[in-house]
Amino acid sequence: MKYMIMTFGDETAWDALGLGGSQATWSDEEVAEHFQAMGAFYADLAASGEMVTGFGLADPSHTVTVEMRDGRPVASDGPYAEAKEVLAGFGIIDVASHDRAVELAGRFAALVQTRVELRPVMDGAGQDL
Amino acid sequence: MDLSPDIEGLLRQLAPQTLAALTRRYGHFDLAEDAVQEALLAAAESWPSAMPDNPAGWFTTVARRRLTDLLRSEQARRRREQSEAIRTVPLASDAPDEVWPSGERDDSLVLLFLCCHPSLTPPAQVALTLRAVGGLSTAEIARGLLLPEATITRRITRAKQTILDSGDASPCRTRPSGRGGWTWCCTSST
Repeated sequence: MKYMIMTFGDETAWDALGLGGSQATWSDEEVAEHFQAMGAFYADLAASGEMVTGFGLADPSHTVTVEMRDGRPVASDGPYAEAKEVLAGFGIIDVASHDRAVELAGRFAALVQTRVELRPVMDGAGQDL
Repeated sequence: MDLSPDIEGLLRQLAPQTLAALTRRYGHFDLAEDAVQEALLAAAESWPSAMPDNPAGWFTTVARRRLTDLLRSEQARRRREQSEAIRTVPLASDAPDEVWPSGERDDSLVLLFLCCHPSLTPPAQVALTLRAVGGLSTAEIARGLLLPEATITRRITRAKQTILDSGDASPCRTRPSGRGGWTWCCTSST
């Protein structure tokens, strides 16, 4: 059964890794270590067959809102509301149990050092929906 | 600024490529152009003394960071403008009651107090005030607050319900016109 693990962060999360509006606030070693740890985690999951996909998202300033107005989709920049924490990245895992999903979410939270959220994915494959 | 022909040639090549790449990836042609200009400046300053190992990668990274920085500034500015606009909504009821002939008072002050009901969140107070006191349509409020119309509709509906549920017709102590004001507020213009 599939789950999505979502990580959250504010602007500083991107700034730390040099993915925001300036050079990384972390040292090169810290950045390398972080990506190495993430890579190792993903490799573990790939090896166990539990990895479906996972990505980090670009800085939230690049967000575009698309909504229907008068029956036509309209794109606008934003939202501009100062969000303390926005979606920073996500991974989709395919695991045998809810417990295992929670365990992996815990490892993920330790890696990214933030709160993560875990949600079942409705993939239509099981009767557990 | 004197640049070696090599560096100048490389920058001439990288600038349009990077502008195209940024625009394709993030949109914002105008800001991307500014970002590339700033990356050009940064390269012209630092490359003559320290050429990066991967000039194209260096240039793209710097331009991308500048674009993000420019977007953040612009969005922060819009947030400031937005909160300023909200703060300076003119209050038609600021004038003293005496300006109205006796027997005819402006109930909009009562309405205004009601819209600022303490059980409402500030966003709800703002939306309800713009609707009930300001007379703006949901679409106009949504445009002004840069929010989807559906959000404002829900916000106003919930605000009215919250006031209804609170059982307190008006938070102002004197309640000059009794429940009239709030009944109007909660039943008209959905």
